[in-house]
Amino acid sequence: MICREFIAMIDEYLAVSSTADDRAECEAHLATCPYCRDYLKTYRDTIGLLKDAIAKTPDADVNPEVAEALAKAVMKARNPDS
Amino acid sequence: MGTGLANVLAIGDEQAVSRFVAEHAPRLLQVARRLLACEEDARDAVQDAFTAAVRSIDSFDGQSQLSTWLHRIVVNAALMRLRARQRRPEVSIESLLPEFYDDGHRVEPRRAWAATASELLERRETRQLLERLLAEIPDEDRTVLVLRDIEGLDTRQTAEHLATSEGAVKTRLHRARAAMRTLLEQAMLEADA
Repeated sequence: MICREFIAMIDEYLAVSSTADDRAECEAHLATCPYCRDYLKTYRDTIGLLKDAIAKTPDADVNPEVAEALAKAVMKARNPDS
Repeated sequence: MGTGLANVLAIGDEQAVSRFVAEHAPRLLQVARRLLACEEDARDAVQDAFTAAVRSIDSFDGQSQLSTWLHRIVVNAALMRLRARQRRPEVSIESLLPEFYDDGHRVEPRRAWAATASELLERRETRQLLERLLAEIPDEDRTVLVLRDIEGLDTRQTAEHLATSEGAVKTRLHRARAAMRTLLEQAMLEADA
């Protein structure tokens, strides 16, 4: 397995959804390729940060003017003729 | 049937509507911001979403949570705005993907950043950095990244939203993750320098 092939399979490898043979090939490649070991670490870190840092961010602040405009839009949609 | 919004609309009380908006708008705006990477467009998408929700309230059958239903609507509203707006000048995602020699080995790979993921999570500025970098990903790729890795939709749900195949979603997700990794690497190496 070469680096390009490993990186193309990296999502399946991380999701443990690759076949046993593919997984074995990935692990054999990782055993000999420090660049791909680094890449795997940083790729996995990136996904983890997206899920842990961004996904768990508190919800946005909505300033009062924006909230008022949204409420008016809801009222208008409810009463389009008014 | 109908809860929340339906009752609010039935009553028609402006204060009730305002409370309803105050409860749901923050979450919807968060989603729209990440998809659109533009504050004005995000607010417009949320307004579109509330309007659409009012008009289609009869189709809400209560089988899912109201918040889930609204989430689906705002994702659709944001995607419609993305399709309608003129393409912004964007960095090509190709320039953010790893390069390979003809023999398949990587071209000039850099060292991994020094900090561990948990160390990065502890830094207050990490979240702001990630949000900034996310906005640099080209629109179509960012969309898949947001829906899959941040909003937690699975491949099938994402494909339905985007009216595309699951295979296309997987390909785009891989490219978007790789691009985000490259951007984060550049930022981390600059910070470590």
